[in-house]
Amino acid sequence: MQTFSGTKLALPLAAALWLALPVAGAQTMPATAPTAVVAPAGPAAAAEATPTAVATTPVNDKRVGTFKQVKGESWLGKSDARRPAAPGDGVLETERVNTGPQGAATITLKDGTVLTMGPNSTMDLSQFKYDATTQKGHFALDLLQGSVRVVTGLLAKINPDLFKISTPTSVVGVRGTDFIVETQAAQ
Amino acid sequence: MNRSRPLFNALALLALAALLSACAPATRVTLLPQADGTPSAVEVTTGQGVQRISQPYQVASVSARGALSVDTTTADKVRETYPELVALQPPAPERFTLEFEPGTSQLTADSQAQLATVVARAQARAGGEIVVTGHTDRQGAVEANDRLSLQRAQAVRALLIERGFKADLIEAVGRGEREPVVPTEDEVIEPRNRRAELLVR
Repeated sequence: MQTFSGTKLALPLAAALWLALPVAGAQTMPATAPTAVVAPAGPAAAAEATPTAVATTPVNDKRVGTFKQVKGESWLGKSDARRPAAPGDGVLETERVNTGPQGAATITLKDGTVLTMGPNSTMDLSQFKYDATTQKGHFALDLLQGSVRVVTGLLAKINPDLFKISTPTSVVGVRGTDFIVETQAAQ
Repeated sequence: MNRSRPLFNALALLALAALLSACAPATRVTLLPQADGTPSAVEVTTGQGVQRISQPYQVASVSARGALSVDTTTADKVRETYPELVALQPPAPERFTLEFEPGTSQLTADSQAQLATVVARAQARAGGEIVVTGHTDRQGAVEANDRLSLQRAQAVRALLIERGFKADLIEAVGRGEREPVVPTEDEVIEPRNRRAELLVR
């Protein structure tokens, strides 16, 4: 195995490539999504009848993923305001996740994509848009340092061109996949 | 695993490491086999070009200057290099299908009885979640069925919350008439397509 030693040149390459990536459009949630929630309140009369609306626990719409296993030091948020991550914690779009020397963590995104981070790793969930009704959306992850294993879910199956992992030197696109990306930090 | 020439491989790697020490890869992408054995691929793009890898255990390496190269690794080496990434894979998701009394969003008695099992299975997992996906038949407009399927999913979600599962970890999704179990023409009434599918992951 080659080591990751030696001086590296910072290349603003990933950023440039990133700008050239297609931007997903027309994939917002349906404007008609009801805010009231429904509970079964006895048999309704008509076939496929609209059930009676009853307010209940609101959904945390901003959560794009959930921590599964967490090992050692794993944190959510940028360094000045980071907090320890625990199984069941939510991850928001644009949020940073990082792990320490003994750390590792698994996150499942809403579309079923599984991200497993190795030790000494930092990544930003830069963009995650997913419409669960149409299964359309897009995803951009920036791996700033360390390693991540990606087992793709519905998003990459249906919109493979809108699923990208960027490192300081490259952009990784997928075709229905399980893979590992490891990178050295930009110097 | 092909381990016929381990010594040769070790020497070759050492030699390679020495040769490349001035330009060790800044990024490495390793393609792993799909769980179901289907083919897959990744494409690594830099300012210098595009490298596609489509065989399991191929590795695309990127130099700090963006130069691309390919070599191969093995399952054993992946386990050695990335032990956490192998160990922390969550168990495969479990699926349950719940059915409704005809013409209602009331679960059948059998389906109601399954809810406790679903909650127990989800609670047994680290960070376990439940995704409830509602489905309709093709009677009615697509938009109306999207709404109805979501309402159906939300009704099941409310029942799971009642049984003590954490609300933040249950998502209700409406897929409308897009995924029938029994394909039909439009506007055909098909009770078997009116259902909720639960994914525990």
